[in-house]
Amino acid sequence: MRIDVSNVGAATVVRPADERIDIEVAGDLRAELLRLIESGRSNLVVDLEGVSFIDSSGLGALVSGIKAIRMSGVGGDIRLANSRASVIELLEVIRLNRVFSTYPSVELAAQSFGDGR
Amino acid sequence: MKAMILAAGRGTRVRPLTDTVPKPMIPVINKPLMEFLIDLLRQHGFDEIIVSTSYLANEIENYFREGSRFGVQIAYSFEGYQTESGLVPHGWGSAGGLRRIQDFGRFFDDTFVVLCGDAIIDLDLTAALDFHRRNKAIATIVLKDVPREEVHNYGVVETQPDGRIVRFQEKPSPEEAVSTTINTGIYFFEPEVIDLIPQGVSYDFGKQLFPLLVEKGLPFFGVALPFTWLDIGRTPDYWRATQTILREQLDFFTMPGRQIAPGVWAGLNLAVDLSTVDLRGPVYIGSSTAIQPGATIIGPSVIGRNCVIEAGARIEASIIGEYTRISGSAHISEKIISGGFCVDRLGNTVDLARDYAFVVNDARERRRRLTEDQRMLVEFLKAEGAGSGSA
Repeated sequence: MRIDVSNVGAATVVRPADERIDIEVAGDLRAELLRLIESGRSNLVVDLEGVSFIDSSGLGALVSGIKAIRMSGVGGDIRLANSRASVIELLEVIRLNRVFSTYPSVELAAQSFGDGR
Repeated sequence: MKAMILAAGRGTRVRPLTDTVPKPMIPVINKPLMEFLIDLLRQHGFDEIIVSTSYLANEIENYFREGSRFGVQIAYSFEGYQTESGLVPHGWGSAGGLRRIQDFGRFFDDTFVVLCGDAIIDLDLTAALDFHRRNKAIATIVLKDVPREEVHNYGVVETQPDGRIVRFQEKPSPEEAVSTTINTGIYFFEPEVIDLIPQGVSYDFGKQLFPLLVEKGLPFFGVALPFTWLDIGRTPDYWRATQTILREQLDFFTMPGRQIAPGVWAGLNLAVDLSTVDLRGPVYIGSSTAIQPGATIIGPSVIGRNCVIEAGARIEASIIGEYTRISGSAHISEKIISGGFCVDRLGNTVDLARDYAFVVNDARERRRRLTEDQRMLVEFLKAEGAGSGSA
């Protein structure tokens, strides 16, 4: 899966190109998140604008990322932008909305990190 | 007196609830929607009822049979045909279905009522019938006012002060609508109206017959009476109707089962220790359901029969269909859970059966082996305190 990475303010924006993040492509997302965290970029925004479905391996990739950030001890977070209603609903049902905050745009998600911590 | 219930529709706008049951059989606090209509008809002396069926006809016909259990006589007019792979629906439209019934056995011989099988109503049918007869109407439809932005879902009418209908628009845009008074799908007819419906073709009340009555200048009336109208037009309406009934304790509704705690009613043989769970009414819990210690259920909620609500699960203002297991990782708030689907109050639908069976699934399913990611998610959520039942 193609994953576009860019910088917006203090945040690194990760944008998966596929509409479905499932077992086929979740490994790519996990690898990209872990690579960024390892290189010290841990204020991450995952832009889900084009994503209509995330399966458990996709959520597993996000959780792997947040666990890696917490283990690294340098601070940072994974925040979501442009999540569709069905994705927000899923996050609510399994209570991951308390772990991954969702913002209506990449800009707002990036701003939520302030000037970087 | 005689009545017809329109129960042949596919219920497309109420999917996924109608994937396995036809709309008239959707359970509203464990009672099929159409049973409310049968009860109402009986109370007002309409005890000979013809039901048009088509989509999933057997679900309706095998429940109501010939009506004796409900204190009425019921017959069916099936619209479709049988093939090797089962029944195939082939509807004739609301009015076309009525014409077929009449052509078959000349059933309607006096004033009769027609109800749509997709709303719960408590209308005073006797008062509406009086209005119809007093005006010597050939047809009378029961009206209600709705907010202008909702008119596009309904037939809109323009009436004279005496109730005579001078214009009928089917599903107009809010800008085009001549009023905000709409057709509720409750009709009183004289049998001669049926002669205006062409034979052997699909024909619709709202789109064809009613505009024709206006055009011909026949005595066609509308009457607005105060009544509760819980229309299940779209999937979220089901959630809203259930919330209303539980919250407002409407007169026509009697909670099934028996009260086991303040505001909490239940069917037989629950597996629950009330001292270990957080139940806040109004809640109905169906029979043979297990609620494990540490689960939270906040009303207005309905838990279907044979469910398993696991320790740590939190359910708020939701409807859980029968045979559902809700895991301890789940937080179900303002949702409908039905057949593996989760529908929110706006109608957004997530298919949980596909990959999230470890969160919500059929309670009869054998335990599946979790994938590595699923196991990690469950452990992560546990560590996050998601299982504590806190919001």
